[in-house]
Amino acid sequence: MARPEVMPLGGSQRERVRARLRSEHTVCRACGGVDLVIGDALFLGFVFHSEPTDAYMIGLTCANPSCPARYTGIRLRAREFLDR
Amino acid sequence: MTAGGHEIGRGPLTTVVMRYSGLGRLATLLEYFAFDLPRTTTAAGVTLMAGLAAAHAYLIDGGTADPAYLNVYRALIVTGSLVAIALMSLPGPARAGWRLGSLVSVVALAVYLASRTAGLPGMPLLAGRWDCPLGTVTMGVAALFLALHGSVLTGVNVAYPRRRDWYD
Amino acid sequence: MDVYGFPAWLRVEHWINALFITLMVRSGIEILATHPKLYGRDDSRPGSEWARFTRKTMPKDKLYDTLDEEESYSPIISLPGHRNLGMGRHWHFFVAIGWVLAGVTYVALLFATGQWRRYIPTSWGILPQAWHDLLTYLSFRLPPHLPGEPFDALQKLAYALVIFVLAPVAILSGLAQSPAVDARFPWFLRLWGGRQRVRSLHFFVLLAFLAFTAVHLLMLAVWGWGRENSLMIFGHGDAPVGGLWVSLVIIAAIIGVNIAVTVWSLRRPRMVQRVLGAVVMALRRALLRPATSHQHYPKAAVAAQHRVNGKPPDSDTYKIMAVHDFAPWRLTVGGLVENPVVLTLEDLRALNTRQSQCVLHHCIQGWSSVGEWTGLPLRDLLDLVRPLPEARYICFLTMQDNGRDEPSAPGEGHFYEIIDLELAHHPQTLLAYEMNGEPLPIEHGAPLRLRLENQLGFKMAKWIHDIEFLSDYRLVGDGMGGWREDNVHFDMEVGI
Ligand SMILES: [Zn+2]
Repeated sequence: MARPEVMPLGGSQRERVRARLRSEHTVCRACGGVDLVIGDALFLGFVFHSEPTDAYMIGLTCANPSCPARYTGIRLRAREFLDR
Repeated sequence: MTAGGHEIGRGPLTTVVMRYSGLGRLATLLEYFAFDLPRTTTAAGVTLMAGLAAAHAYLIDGGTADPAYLNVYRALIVTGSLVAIALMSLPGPARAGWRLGSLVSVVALAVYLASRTAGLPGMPLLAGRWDCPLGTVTMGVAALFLALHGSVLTGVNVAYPRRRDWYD
Repeated sequence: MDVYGFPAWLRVEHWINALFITLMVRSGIEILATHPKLYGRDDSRPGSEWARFTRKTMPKDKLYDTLDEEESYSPIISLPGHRNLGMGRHWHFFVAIGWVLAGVTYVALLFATGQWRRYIPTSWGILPQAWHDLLTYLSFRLPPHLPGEPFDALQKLAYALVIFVLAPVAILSGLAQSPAVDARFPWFLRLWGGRQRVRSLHFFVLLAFLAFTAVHLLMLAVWGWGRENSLMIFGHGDAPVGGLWVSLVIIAAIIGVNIAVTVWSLRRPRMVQRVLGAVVMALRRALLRPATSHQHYPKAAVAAQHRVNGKPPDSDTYKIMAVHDFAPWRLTVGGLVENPVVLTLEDLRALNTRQSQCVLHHCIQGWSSVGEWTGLPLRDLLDLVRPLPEARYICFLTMQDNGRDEPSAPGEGHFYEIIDLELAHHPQTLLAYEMNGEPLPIEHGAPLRLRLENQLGFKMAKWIHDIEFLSDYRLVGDGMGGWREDNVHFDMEVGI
């Protein structure tokens, strides 16, 4: 059963997230792996009071099977990955 | 000015009066009370007007030797109350209905108080005669209508056809 | 000559009642302040309230919760004021127990001594007499007393209504707001038209007592304050001057008690919580804990929007868990158990029992909502971990850090709640991972929350990540049985 709060990303959105990861040289914080699988997005702006009203968390999963903490994420604003 | 936290309109005159009369404090207190019962409010206003009309209709003629102008006055109050009831129940002129109701109430209250204090032309014996249940009811009903209309004007109540736009 | 007189027990009862009513009214207003909105429907849908006693408005672009909506009223009108629901509840229930005991004694004595005739009319003739009395009052004159009785017909009817209608309605409409009573006897709540209607009615009871008191005091002044008080203090009307002065002393004493308990509650809330809580809790355990939830609301009753009390964990760890649909989340179950376990959400869902219940949620603040909850019955988790014989309590630790997540709650630290192990055996005690047929939403406790259908909402910990079985809870937190008990002085067991 899909969690309604979690929003799947489309191809172009995924591409923008990937470009962002590349430009920031983002690596897995647990194992240093560079292969991060981009998952879904969670809108943070409404339920979390510390977040800007257009903040999202993008799920990232480390592809390294022996990684000690495979689940991670990157926080983006709407304009940074959503289609205009 | 707010009602239940939500802004309601207020003119410049009201602003000045509020600031310099000390009514501002009362207004702040009233802001803690807000009801969304437009139909109940209007029904209450209609009932009070009907009470005022009935009390005055009961006194018309009745075989007493009241001066003719008094019966004309009573008929005017009855008519005014009934017109107010009709207007208050219609979505368009409801606000005018409430104003008419208040006007009728003020007149009825003033005339009753005048009749019991100064006395009326041709009816001097009424002065000081407070022991009349119907008169007490008239005063009470008129005062209650004014208070109810006041609650609508201050935003404590809303009357038909208005509604609150509360979202929280 | 008044054949009924004013016997000593009646006079004592009158003044005790006067004190109790002031405490009940003020503590009742404190309870109203925590959610100063009244509804007609049990979903308490935001914006659907028919009355609100607050100046606050809530944001539209951010999640707000019912703690943000709380009002802080002055101690002049509420006991103890300054936003102290915990204290208000202690006083309301403690005094209610005394008030009910005094009331039952009073009514018993009325019937034992034949004094009931002073209030209960025995002939329909009272109605035209009362009408005539009303006209007399409206003429600004005083009607005659009934022959040989202390009151006129209208007064007699008014007292009969207060004693035999208003007071019972006050008690019953209060009881009808108990989650334990409503869970055990859903028909009783339906009798009152629902949880929010009965809450509104309870508010009208408050207004009725205030109106009665105002008219009562006015009548005393009109009939003669000194003489009337002489009757109610000395039992005869021959000492109006003494009646006047002693009545002023008694009123000062009533005000003094009100001030004293207000100051005590504001300065030493923990002590009040322990002292009053001991009395109220004993009664709750005896009467309300056995109440087992038998609720089966129709799915059509499910609220479109369920209000929220408490904000979700505002941490990256939590947000990352959520975006991965809680795949990284683990539930640790340990403490005094034979078989401690660590479970994933998948593990929980895969456990072969899965139970759904459509029930009424009672928030301690007074709002309610109907929801359908699905999850693992807690007793099935017990079967899995097998608590040791010395385990008596279950502690639910959550990911919510109140200092960080909830600006509207005074206090720091992670939210936790402890329940008596006995409650875990109730058939509708559930670890819920679904709500209304979908994964449990973040604001309602994702991925796992507790459902205790005969308790108030705050005991149903949300965002749970650890469950510990304990023999004692006095060393956990401040030792009061939960975060709210520690920080805002609620009671540990809340069947009402
Ligand atoms: Zn890694």
